[in-house]
Amino acid sequence: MQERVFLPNKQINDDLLKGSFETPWWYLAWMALFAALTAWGVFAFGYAINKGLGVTGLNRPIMWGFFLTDFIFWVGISHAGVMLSAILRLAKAEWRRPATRAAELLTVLSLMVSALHPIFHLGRPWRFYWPFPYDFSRGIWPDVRSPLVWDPHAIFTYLIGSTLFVIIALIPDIAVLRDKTKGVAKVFYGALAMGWRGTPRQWKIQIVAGFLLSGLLLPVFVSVHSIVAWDFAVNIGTEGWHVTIFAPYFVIGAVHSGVSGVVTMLILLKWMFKWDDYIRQEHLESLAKLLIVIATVWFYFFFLEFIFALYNLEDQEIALRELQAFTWPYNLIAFVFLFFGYLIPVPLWLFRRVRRNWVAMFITSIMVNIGMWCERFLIIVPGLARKTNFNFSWGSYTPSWVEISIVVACFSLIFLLIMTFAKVFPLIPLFDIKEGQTLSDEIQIGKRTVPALRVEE
Amino acid sequence: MLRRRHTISSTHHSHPPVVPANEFVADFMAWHTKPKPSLNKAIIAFGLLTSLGLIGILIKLFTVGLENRSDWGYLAAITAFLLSTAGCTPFVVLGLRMIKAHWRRPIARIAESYSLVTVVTFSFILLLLFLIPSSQNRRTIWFQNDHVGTVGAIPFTPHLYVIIGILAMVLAGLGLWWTSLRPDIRLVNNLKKADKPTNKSWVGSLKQWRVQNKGLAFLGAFFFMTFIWAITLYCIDLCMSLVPGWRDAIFPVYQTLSGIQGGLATVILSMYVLRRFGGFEKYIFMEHFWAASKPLLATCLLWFYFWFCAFIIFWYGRMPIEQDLLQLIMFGPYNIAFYIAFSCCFLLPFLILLWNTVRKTVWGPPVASALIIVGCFFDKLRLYVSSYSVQDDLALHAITEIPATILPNITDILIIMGGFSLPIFIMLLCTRLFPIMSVWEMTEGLRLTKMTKFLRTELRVLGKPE
Amino acid sequence: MVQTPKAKKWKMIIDIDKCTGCQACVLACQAENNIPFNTDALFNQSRASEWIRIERYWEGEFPDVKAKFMPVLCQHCNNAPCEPVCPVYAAYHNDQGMNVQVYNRCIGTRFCQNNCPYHARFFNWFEPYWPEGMENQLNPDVTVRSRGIMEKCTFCVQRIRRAEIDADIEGRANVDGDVNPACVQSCPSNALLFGDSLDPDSRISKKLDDARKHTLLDHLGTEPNVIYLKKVDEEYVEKEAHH
Repeated sequence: MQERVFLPNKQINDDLLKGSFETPWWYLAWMALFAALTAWGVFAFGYAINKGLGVTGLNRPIMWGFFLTDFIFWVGISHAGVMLSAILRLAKAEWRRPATRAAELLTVLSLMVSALHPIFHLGRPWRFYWPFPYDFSRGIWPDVRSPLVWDPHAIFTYLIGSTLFVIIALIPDIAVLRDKTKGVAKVFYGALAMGWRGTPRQWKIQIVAGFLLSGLLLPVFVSVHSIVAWDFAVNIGTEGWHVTIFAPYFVIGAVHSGVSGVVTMLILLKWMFKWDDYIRQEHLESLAKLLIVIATVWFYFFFLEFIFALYNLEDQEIALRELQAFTWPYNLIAFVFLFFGYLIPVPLWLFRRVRRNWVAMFITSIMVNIGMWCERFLIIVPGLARKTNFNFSWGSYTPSWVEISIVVACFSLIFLLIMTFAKVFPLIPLFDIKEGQTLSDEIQIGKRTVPALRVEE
Repeated sequence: MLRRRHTISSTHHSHPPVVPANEFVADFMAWHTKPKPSLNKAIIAFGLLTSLGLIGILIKLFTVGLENRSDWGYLAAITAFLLSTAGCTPFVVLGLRMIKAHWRRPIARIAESYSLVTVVTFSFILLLLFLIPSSQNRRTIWFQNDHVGTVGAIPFTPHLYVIIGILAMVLAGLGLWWTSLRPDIRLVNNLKKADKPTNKSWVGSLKQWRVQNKGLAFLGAFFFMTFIWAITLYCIDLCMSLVPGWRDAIFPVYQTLSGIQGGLATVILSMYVLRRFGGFEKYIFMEHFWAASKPLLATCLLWFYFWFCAFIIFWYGRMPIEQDLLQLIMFGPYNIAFYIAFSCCFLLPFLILLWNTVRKTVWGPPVASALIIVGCFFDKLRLYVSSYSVQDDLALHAITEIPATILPNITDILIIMGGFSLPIFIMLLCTRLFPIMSVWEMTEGLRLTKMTKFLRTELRVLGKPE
Repeated sequence: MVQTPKAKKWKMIIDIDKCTGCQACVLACQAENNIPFNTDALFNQSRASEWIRIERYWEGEFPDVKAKFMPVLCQHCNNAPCEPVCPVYAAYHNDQGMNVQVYNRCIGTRFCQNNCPYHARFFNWFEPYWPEGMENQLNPDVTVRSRGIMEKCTFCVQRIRRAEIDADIEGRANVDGDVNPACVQSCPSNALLFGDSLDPDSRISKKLDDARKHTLLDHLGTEPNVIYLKKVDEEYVEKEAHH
């Protein structure tokens, strides 16, 4: 169902650049709150560096807890950008247009925040750069056998690629801002616009660059989360981790989580900036249908992981699954994960009325992310709590205020950065919307007029 | 710096003009009703080859019987191969229909017709099930084990459930084929002026079309689920659980993907045959192969990715059980088959399809697809012949010895030849008996495509009624 | 002038039949290797640092309860899972068959402990603390580890090096019994035995093919250098292994 709107270009410019030219009171209030939470998180991290990681709830055997859970969660959210922007661009799906910049932005910011997490969880964070091969003064290079060396390289590759992707997509819109502002802002936007004039040659280069980056980022996005998964899967010392399916299971879970995050973000943008003409129910519906497919594939992977975990009928594996499914507090977390992550949202999304309802989609997309955060927690902590047969050394975990503060601060940092970005650059790509309008057409078949698309070769 | 080749107008010339729908129907009917002696000769030839394969199975049955699983590894491999190539083509076409890709239209009918191959494959699976012991007290996904006290909780595992699962897929595939065929049978009979009693009920009213569309959507979703479940059951119960110590959660996903890759390759090769030997250059052109090459490239990369996921976990952990398993299925007695599979399923097609200039030709994707079909066969060989050759007691938790390579004997070679010629035979037979192009889908697509003027050039416009 | 040492492979044999669970080895290790004191609070937080620990399992119902003691320390695996996962080569295998931890290189990712199936590695959660005056009992031969570093049993490598240097100065080769880690030295029932398995005259190489020998978690293929001798127990029934 398409609800086409045809707006004059000037109106598109005015509507979508609202964020840059107006500052409502609620904007400042939210910014203050997020800044305060982030500052509190910075203080907590400083405290942890000063005193040592003992201020967290980690212990032996549970040496990875909230920080790693949050790390995987944010790497997961970062997959939204590539899924929506890159894959849909290559598949030439029209309904991606309003979502691309928000998705790409979420990718870049969540990657930056996730890159902070290994620093949080290190015993000696001031040495965080040692996995990089920057220098031979210690007489050895980093150990390339370690997934923790592959990790930072993969994440930084993805971060650089995604940042380039955002910048290239932003240039035409920055040029519009350059032309509409004066003074310091004009100089700032002028420098960033890099001389964009909108000539056919420049457009061609911009489009080709976008396609190339989309294609190149696809293997990167698969490999980044696979490497994060192999942080766990190559372990033979921890129960429940040594399974072959972890890599694609994490990737598809990340896409599930990320696309839901973009849905949340789009709905918030529509409500805050009143972009009803640009973010329409058809976009929500297409996103929901995509989510149904992704979520079901994810559920199949989860089912396989669970079946094969129990496949060998090892006592310690059975003990682990009993802990995850039946013991407090993990049983509650497992319930939240299963029901919030799949069993409530997906059957609801099968109904058209739910798919086209803003509040329902907002709530279900947030539910999915709560569920997926719990899933990451359930993968990491119970496995460590029940490591191998030595029950004498089994343990349990309670997060401390330091971990909770830092995790909350990361969420608020993301919101802070998104809102800062919304002030400086438009969150819906102007040229994409205008391109969509240019390519729209109608054809006559018999007595019916059918909406159509002009196809470029 | 940008060469003239890449501007909009020059690439546009490679696209043949849009044919009006009526002209297509007339063209196609003329072709369909023309006598084709070479087609009949081809049907007889491939029919003979296929029956040689069936004779091979019968000879094997009456000489060595069903006592020793290691005799039947090659049949298991060919069955898996057929499930992964011809058996998966309906899945591919359904996926394309779901994302509304226009290029599926010329080959939709052939792809759905390959479900007939799955009927024969089902009979092979029934035969192979005699070689599989009950799942009690050995590691399977049915968990029938004394250790947890569940022996007998689910009766007749795994045989009954494999049969149900694969039968469901076969029926879904046949249902899809028939639903898609109904409008065309009536059209063909009308145009041939023949008055067959079947399909008098189809009149092409709006209500019937709506029901047909909904039926296709519903059967499509049903086929998706049953296909994935059928492949999962087949590869776990008839391969993985026969090797003690093989615990590989990604194996069903790897086999499903191998199926999608094989299905796409089969579709592309069928497209090429249809264009070349059927003479449909006006309706199957470079754009179709170009559009097909992109998911093909993606499946090659995914093949490597899923293989690597299994490999890295087993190899890195250095556990003796897993190292032995790697020897058995990759680097030991079947290493040559594995290297061929790796080259032909990933390395060579990847290097071929990497280049956009090659993807934009009519011959590029079919060459890659042919390599993939060969690679798919060797991949199944290294997995199934090796797992069927394991002699250890299945209640153990690791294999104790790695059996030597089993080379194919004469019956095995007959079975392999029959297996390769079966889908070709079925396709040729369907060409003879039914309209080989989905007339209703093609006319739908042609009606939705128009050429219009835009600024200073002409562009194609695709209607999107959804 | 250090001579080229002849090749050595250090192994330890633990006879579970002789272990009484007295924890003398635990205390000796703590004193020798500058491990901070383990208080009640640390045990409750599961942060006690015990490079060798006595795992105690109860079997049976009252009044036929039996306690089974098993000293577990770093197994110095030949195929150590902790080694390939350290991003900075802080855990590596030396040429005497030992798995060594280089404190200076450690950045505290704790991946090595996650991959160690024997829970043999420990993390310094805070700066080490000794009550007033107790810092005088610190061993000068052993580094005091600051916060953020992983540590584990080193087979008292400082004693091995001391013995090698002393033998060098005296111009002789090491003999069996020159080197004993603190735990081996302090065990009152001689349940622990340490030595060079490449030396045909050492006590340990004579015990290496004992009928009771087994290694922990051998299905993982870690090939430990710590060998356990089974407890002699006529009532024991072998349970079916499930891996």
